[in-house]
Amino acid sequence: MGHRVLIVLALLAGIAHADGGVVGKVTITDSAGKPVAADAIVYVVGPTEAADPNEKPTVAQKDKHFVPDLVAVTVGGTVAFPNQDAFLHNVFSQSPDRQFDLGSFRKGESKSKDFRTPGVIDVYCNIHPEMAATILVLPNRLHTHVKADGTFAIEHVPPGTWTVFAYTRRALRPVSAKVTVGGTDASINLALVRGAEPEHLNKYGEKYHEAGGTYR
Amino acid sequence: MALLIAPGTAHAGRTFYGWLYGTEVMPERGAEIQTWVSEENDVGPENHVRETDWWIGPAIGITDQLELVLPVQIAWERQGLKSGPPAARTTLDNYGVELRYRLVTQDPVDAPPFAPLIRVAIKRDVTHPDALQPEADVVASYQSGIFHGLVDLGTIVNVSSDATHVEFRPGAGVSIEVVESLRVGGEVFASLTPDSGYGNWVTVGPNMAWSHGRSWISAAFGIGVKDIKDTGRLQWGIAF
Repeated sequence: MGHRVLIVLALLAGIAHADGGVVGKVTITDSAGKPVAADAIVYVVGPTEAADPNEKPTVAQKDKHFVPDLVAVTVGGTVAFPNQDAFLHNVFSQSPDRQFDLGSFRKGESKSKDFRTPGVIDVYCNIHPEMAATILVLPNRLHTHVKADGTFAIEHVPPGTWTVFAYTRRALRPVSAKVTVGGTDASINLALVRGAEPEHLNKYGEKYHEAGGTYR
Repeated sequence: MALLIAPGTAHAGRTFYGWLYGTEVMPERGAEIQTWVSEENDVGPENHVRETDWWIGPAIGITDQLELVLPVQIAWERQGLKSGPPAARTTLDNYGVELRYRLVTQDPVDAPPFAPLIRVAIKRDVTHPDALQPEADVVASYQSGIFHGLVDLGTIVNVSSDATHVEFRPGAGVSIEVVESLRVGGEVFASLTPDSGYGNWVTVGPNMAWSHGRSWISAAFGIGVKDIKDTGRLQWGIAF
């Protein structure tokens, strides 16, 4: 019995050793090459790790902005949208991968939405056109935000050769690189170019009224 | 170059039918003005009644599945006699409050193809001193791709101190999306009552519906099958 426990522990230790990580740095510039301070998410495509049960992404509505304006959620997960402003907000998406309309809700109220298929979901407020955010629905839990200095670390990546992507809102094009993960960390650097915020339509497919509409 | 993200459009509260209630409701705190105009021409075995109604009401989303409507209805009615001139009148007919509760989510991913809705209303019939008019509909729709089918079983009861009149308003229809936002189909609709002195009539005919941004329109023309010449109903809504 004691031997069996030792064998299991040894196997688990071996598996843990086989896991590696992906570390590196993401730089973001505008189309003129000037550095831009912006959030970015790095994620690994290929492995099939299920969602972290502690993963509870939230996009708050605060000071007429979505905070943060970029979140990642593993397929099957739920994103909460609490309103922290003293006035009504709406949250809607017309992205082909996930269309929804959460109606209007006031301060202190929160609504949530589940995401079951991978994709890039742009969400907006039908009342305040300046509010925009992006939700990355990713196939596994191997994703992370970059730090303020652009560095990142994704731990517990299973061994193998995978594709690592970096994404920032308004990215002109996705960037990715192949990495091979073994017992040690793989290191990559990725460069994103960020464009202008595209004009979007309200939930009825119309342009917003000037100077703040009253649409809900 | 500014890129206009071209989405589908959000719609709520609409129906694809002329005479039949839909199963969509407004999202929470959504608001929409809904209105319809209807005609019932030459009703009854003697074809002597004509009625044109105008109904208007704001619809407000209480929750994502419960909608409150505050309707007012104006009616023009001619009670023609076989002998002698017809008597016509135009009047504020009734006003009241109604609730429409959709029993399943409207989320386009989570919503099942089969969607039931219950509508209940209580109205004041102002043409009588003490008449109230409770109404109820059980509506069920089925959506699969471009196909939409719906059954609406409605009941209107008019209660006053001297009489109670019951009217059943069953209907069913289909609606096919022929191009984006434009649908055509057909529906059958009837007004049936066990009370004597009232006509039972049935119509069947084509319908159409069109959605555009925050607005929607639907209409049906019914050809009389029993004790009515024809009917028509045009309704539209605009969200804001």
